[in-house]
Amino acid sequence: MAVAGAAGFPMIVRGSALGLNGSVPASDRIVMAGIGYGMQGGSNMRDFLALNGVQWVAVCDLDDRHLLKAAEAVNQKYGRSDCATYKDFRELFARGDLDAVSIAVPDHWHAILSISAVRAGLDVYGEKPLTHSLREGRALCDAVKRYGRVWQTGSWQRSVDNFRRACELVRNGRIGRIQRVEVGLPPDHTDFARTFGQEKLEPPPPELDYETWIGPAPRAPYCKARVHMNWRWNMDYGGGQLMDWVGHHLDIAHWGLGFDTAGPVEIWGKGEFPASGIYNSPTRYWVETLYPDGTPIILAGGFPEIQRGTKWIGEYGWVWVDRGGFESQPAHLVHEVIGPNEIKLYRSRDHFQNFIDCVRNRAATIAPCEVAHRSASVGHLGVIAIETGRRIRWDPETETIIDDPGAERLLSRSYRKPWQLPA
Amino acid sequence: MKSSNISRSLAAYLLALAVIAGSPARSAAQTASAEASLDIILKELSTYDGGIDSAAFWRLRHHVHARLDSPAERRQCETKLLEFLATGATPQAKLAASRMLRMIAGDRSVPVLEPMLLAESTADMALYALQAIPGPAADAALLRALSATGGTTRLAIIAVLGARKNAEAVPALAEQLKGSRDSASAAAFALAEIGNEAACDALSASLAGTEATIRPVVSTALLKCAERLLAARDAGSAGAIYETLLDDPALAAPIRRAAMSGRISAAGNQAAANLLEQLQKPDPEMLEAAISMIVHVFEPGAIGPVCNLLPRLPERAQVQLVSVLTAYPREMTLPALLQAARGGTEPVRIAALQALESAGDASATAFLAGVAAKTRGAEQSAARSALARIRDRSADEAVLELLVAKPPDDVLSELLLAVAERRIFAAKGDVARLLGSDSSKVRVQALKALRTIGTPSDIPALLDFMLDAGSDIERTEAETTAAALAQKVANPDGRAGAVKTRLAREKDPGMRALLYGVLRRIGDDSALPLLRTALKGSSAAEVDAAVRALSGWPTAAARDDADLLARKSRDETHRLLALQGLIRMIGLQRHRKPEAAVAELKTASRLARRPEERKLILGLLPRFACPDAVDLAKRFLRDRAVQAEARAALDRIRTQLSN
Repeated sequence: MAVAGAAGFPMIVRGSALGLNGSVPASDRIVMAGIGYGMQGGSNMRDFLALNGVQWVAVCDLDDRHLLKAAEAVNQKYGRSDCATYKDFRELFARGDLDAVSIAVPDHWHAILSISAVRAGLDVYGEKPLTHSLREGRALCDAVKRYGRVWQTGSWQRSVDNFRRACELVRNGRIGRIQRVEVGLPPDHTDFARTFGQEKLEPPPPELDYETWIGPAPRAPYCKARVHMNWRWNMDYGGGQLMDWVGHHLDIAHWGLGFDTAGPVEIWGKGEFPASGIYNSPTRYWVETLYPDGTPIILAGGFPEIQRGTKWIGEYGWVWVDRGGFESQPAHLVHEVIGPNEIKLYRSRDHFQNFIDCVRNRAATIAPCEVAHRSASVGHLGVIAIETGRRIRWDPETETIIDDPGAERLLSRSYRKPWQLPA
Repeated sequence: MKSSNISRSLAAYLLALAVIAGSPARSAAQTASAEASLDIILKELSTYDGGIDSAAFWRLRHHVHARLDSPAERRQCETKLLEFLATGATPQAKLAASRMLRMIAGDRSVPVLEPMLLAESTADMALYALQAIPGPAADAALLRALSATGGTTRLAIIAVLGARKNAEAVPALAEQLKGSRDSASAAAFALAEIGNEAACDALSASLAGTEATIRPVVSTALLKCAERLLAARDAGSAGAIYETLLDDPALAAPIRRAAMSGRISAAGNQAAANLLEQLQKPDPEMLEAAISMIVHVFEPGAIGPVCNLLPRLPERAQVQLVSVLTAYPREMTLPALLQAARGGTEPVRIAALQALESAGDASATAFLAGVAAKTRGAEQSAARSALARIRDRSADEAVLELLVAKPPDDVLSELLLAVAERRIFAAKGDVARLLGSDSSKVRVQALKALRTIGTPSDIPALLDFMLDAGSDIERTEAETTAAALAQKVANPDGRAGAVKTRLAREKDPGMRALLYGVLRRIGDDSALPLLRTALKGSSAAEVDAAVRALSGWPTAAARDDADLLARKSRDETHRLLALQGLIRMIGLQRHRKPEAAVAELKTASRLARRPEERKLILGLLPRFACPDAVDLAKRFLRDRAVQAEARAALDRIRTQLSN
């Protein structure tokens, strides 16, 4: 593929000069790089590296340890030693030879990085939640559209057969009109990095560019518990379990209802928070939403009565799906096959391959930007409802909160200087 | 929403609130916040260092949140927080206070916050609050500060003016376009956010005179402005901006592509002509974006000229265009897609076959069956998928016609696959006749198709076929199909009826043994007495088949039979089969008291002489997590052959118990 690079740089011939990579002609390979290797980035890169026709040329991270480990994985894959390393994403985007980039960084960096990437003409595989604030989500969708880029969100459940089949059953009316949807998400905080309790303030380690890591978020002193992986539990960098999972199970709920580009009109909720420490995302939460057609969707974490996964409850029964679980009432529904003349949903058998296919044929991916924005929006609005303690009325068309200026303030965030959302 | 839905949702919500309110951690914090005065909280907060000892921060948060709905109390909080910003509290404490102000501050806060903008150390705090304060007072303060600050603070103020869409700021921001690279970039993005006519004019005016490093930023800002103009139906002004950017060869391709797309969007009734012209230009940089524009520009009936371009485009563009054409009526696109599927390069052929899935109709079925028969890999997979999923009812009839037209065996097999995938029930008679085909491949495919479109009435014929089958593959397929059709009998106790009838007149022990295998696959518990009787028979083949059927029984109804066989059988193979079956069946009863299941597994473990069976038991234990399961798993820790499995089981059991 030949696409010019970032602003101000001359066009460079893409991966055609690079050898390797199976049977796909060099000129046909999708040249990729990754940003963020502290958590999901490494796993995403491994999945891409396993595909024919992908050439990984560079890695980018603010932590030298992650950076070197990622570069080592790439070099090992190709039996070479020339994977480029970057700490500054702007230098990476300025290479000019990339087709696409995989981004898996803390949420507070999603929008700035992603908009910068699409401005540089790159297609993006980006982790969920789409952005750290609702307004950022709209800005990112606009940018993806403006620059005609292919976007795939890491909502990979859409590429798993059971989830698609469950959605097709619901869409084809097997359980009748939907009366309620229950979305069960995880509660609490998980000690991914085994740094819980390591909240002693100390100078950042030399291998980490902490100043940039904090980036647009409010200044805060370094401690181990704040950064890698467990950043997710602090609302300055992540969104807790609610925002982490809304891009999975609520996304599936939307898919089954045909609400991919819709949104709720009312949202209210309540959360339970830690009493101290540096983590401030809810550990238990209950969010209720109401959609324009009267369908209520409940999202809950930490309430046993709401089963983990997505459950559509209809006039004639229910369908429930989760990772490794797919059940229905009546039970035989899960075995029913959708006929050729019924609604068949977009089928992707491999989330990463789907992205690469779409980079090639420029079709929409199975989890495009607008769809991810709409599912993330429900999480953002849930957080605002919890934060304000008020019932939020929302206009999904104009994406504005109705008659609540206080809540409206929470639709966006301020960036620490000098960071700014690009156009 | 129906009233029952409302009440159900409301009940659940109230329950959730009750649970939350009852939480000890929450109630302690809330009680504390309610009781402590804001003065006390702020005093405690004043030494906050941003670390773990954040209880005061949480109390402040609760205190402020509890007062959000009361204007008077909000105002009181605002006053205290502003006073706090002037104290000697730590920067982290003041930052915490300013973030609360972000939610509640009004015009009264502006005079306090404005001076804070001038100091590097306090500017962020002031901006967090000021950005959210609506109204001209905050706007004016930010504008005043713009000229009084420098460095990163000025950049941040520029960004906030943009985020607030402050139209009054346009002249000042336009000035900043002439400043340093950083200021100019920030100002360009801010002007794009404001996006009014004046902002667009300022950006346009600066474009020509801007140094090369800033031009891309100003250009992207102009793209955003042009979108706003277009949305406001000022296509002329938007088009002019797009033309300017498109005509600048120095700009990077992403910007020029966006400008080209925008220009076509702004072209009104000339859009289709412009796009068609663009599609014919030998400019690969623009081609991709031009193809992406097709669906936005060409009406369904006008796509013909674009279809005609397909074979003339480069390979990658053909792949892209084929994908786009699926959005158009099939009568307009089908000839072009069929041509691409026949004559294109491999990637184009595959893309076209995939497109036929939605764009194909009955006329494509013969072609697709032929391609599926003669190709392999991705091309075959695409052809099969298209044949199965063509959304045209007459495609079913076309498949039926082809089925009886005596096509080559390879094609026939593909058609049978399509019959099953498409659920063509009307094909049953023809498919059944194909069980007599000379080709084993066709017979196997016919059996598979019958699995989907057959009914229980077909079981007797299938049993006959199975007993006469010349190969294990066909016998297994027939057995699977008979068992699958039996599952369609509504009454679970009637599913084995046809097999029982056949058994009643079958005398040959070998044949009877085969029929026991079908009973096992069906799992109709009413057939168990028949198998128990067979255990006592004189035919070794029948006894062996009965043991295998009971050991492999799909429900726990044969648990006692397996238990007995595991204890008493003198044949070691039968004993092991039964023991494995017993362990499996214990695992099937998931909803029992875990202690009862563990007790049975413990008994089974005494019969397990080989590590293989002990591993099966360990694999099941976490399913019945309880203290007894822990004890049983621990016993295996001393057994070297299963030590690793025992550790893994213990971990899983403990994890489940801790949850």
